[in-house]
Amino acid sequence: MQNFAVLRKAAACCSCILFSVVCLPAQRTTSRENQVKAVFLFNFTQFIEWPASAFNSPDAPFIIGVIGNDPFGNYLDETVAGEKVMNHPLVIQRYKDLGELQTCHMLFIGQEDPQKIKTILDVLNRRHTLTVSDYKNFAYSGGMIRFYTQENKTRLQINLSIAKAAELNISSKLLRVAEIID
Amino acid sequence: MKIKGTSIQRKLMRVILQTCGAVLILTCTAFFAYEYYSFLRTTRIQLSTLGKVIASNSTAALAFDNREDASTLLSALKAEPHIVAACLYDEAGNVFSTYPEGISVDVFPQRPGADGYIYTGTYLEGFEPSVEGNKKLGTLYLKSDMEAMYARFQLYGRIAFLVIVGSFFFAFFLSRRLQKTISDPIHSLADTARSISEHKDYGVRATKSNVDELGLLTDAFNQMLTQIEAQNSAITAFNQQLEQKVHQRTAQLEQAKDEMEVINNKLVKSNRDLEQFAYVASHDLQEPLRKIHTFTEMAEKKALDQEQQKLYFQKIKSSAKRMSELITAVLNYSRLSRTAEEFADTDLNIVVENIKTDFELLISEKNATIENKGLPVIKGISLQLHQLCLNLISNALKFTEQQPVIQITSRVVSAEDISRMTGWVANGNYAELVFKDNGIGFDQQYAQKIFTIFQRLHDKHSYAGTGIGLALCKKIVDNHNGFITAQSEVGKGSAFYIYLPV
Repeated sequence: MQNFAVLRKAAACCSCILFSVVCLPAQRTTSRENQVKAVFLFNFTQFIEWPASAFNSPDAPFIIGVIGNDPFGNYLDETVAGEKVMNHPLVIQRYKDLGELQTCHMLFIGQEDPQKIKTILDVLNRRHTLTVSDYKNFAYSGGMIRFYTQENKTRLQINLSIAKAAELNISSKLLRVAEIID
Repeated sequence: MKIKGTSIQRKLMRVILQTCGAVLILTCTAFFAYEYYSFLRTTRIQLSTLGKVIASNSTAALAFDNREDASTLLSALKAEPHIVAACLYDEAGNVFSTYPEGISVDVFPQRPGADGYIYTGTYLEGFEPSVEGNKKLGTLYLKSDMEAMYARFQLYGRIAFLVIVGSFFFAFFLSRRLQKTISDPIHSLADTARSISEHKDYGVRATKSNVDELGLLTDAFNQMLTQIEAQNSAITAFNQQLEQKVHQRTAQLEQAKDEMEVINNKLVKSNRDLEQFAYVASHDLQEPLRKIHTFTEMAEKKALDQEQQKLYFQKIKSSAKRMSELITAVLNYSRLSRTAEEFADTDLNIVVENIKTDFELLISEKNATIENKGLPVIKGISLQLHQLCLNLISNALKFTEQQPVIQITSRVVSAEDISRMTGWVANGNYAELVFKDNGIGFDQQYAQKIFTIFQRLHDKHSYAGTGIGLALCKKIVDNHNGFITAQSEVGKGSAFYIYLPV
C-alpha cells in the first residue's frame, strides 16, 4: 500500500514537469523581451513620482492599464502581485478599445497605428497618466516613454517635457539610463 | 674632580632626557593607537558612505538593465585609488558589472554576502544594498586596501620621529642650561672642598647661591669649616703654650744644671780643701803635740834642776800656745766656709783705719808706714773684709827685715778687662785693691801656692805664722765673688791684687 502511495506521488510529480514543459512554448511567444518590459513597467513606479492629486485617497490603488495588444500575458500580473507604490496597491487593468479606457496612472499602448495612438493620447490629455509604448515615433508624437531594442537590450526613449506637462516627476537616475527627447 | 663634576651634570641630563624620551614615546604611542583605531573607523565610515552613494546611484542601471551606465558609475571609483575592486550584483545575485575594467569575475564572491564592512587581512571589504524606495534592486561590493592607512602612518612616523629628535635636542639644550642651577652650586662646593683639602686653608668659605637644600648644605659646610678653624687655632695656641712651657722647663733645668754644676764644683773644691786640711792639720797639729809630749817625758824621767825645768815648761807652754793658735785659725777658716751673712756696704777706709788702730803697737815698734786713701765702698760682709785687710797688712808687717812701708791703692776695672784676665763672663765693673809692701817677697813661681792652707814658704822660726792667713784671704775673696793674685820677687817686696765686684 505504501509503495503504491509513493508511486502515485511520483506520477503526480512527473505529470507536473510534463505539463510545464508543454506549456513553456506557449508563454515564450511573449517572453524574455516582454518579460523585461513588464519588469520595466513596474520599475517605472520606483523612479517616477506621481502627484498626490492623481489618487482619490492615500490607499487608492495604483492602476497600470494595458490597451490594445497585450504582449505580457500573466507575467505582468505576476510581477506586480503584492507590490505597493507609496502605500498604493498595484492593480492591472486591460482595455480592449478606447471605449473601455478608464483613469489609470500608467498606460501601456499596444498599438502600431499612429492615428489610434493619437486618439488615445488626446483622450489622456491633461491627466496624470504615464504613457508607454513600443511604437517607433511614440516619443516624438506626444507619448512619454518608448521601448526600443539596441544590441539585444531593451532601451528607453523619454519625452521629458510631455511627462513634466502631466506633472510627473522623473528621477534623474532614470533619465541617465534613457535617451531623452525634447 | 672635574670628571666627577661632569658626571653629576651627565646624570642630571640623563634623568631629564630619559624622562622626556619616556613621555614622548608614551605620547606618541597613545597618539598612534588612537589614530589607528580612529583611522579604521573613519575608513569604514568613508567606504560605507561611498558605497551608499554608488549603490543609490546604481539603482536605475540595475532596474533598467543598463550595464554601460553601471560601468560608468563604477569607473568613477578611479578617483579613489585605494578601491582595488568593486562590483554590482543584480537582484538575483549575479555579477552585473565589475570594476576595474578587465578584472576577472573570479576575484569577487560568487554571491553577495551580508550587508556591512569587515577587515580581512590587509583589506577592508563589504556589501551595500542598492535600494530604490522600498525595493532592493541589487548589491554593491567594494574592496579597499589599507595603503592609505600605511601611507598615513608612515607620514605620522616621520613626523613623530622628527618631533622626538627635535624635542630631544630641545630638551638637551634646555636641560644643559637648567641643570646648572643644581650642578653649579655643587661644583662650587666641590671646588671649595678641594681647594681646602689641597691648601689646608680653613678660612675659605663656600658661596651660597640659593635658599634650597643646596643652600642648607653650603651653610652646614661653612659652619663645619668655622668649627674646624676654631679647633685648629685652639690646637695651635695649645701647641705654642706647650712649646713655651717646654722651653721654660728646659731653661729652668739648664739653670738648675748650671747651679748644680757650680755647687758640685764648690763641693769638689771644698772636699779637696778638706782633704788637704785634714792632711796638713794632722801634720801641723801633731808637731807641737809631739814637742809637748817629748818635753813632758824628759821632765818626768830626768832629775832636772830648776833652771832646766823652767825652760822645759816654757817650751811646753809655747807649744800649747801655738797649738791653741792653730786651732783658732782652723776654726776661723772653717767658720768662713759656713758663712751665710747678708752683704752690706762696707767702707774700706774705715776698715783700714780700724786695723791701723789694732796694730798701733806693732806699727810704732817697727816704725812702719801705711799709706791708704780713696778706698772704695764694697758690698760685702764687713767682718770678713776686716779679716782680709787685717791678714794682708799683718803679713806685710810680719815678713820684713826693714822698716815696713805698706801702700794700699785702688782703681776701677772694667768688665772687659776682668774677662780678659780671668775668662769669666763678668757683669759690671770691679774694684781693684792693691796691697804693696817692701817685705821679703817670694819667688813668683809660688804665686798660686801661697793661697793654699798650711802652705809655708819659710821656716816658722824665721817668720811667725800659722800658714792659714793667705788661705783665709782667698776664701774671703771667693766668698765675695772676686779673685786674688800675687806678684813678687824675692827681697823686693810683694803686691797682692784683689778684685771685687762693685
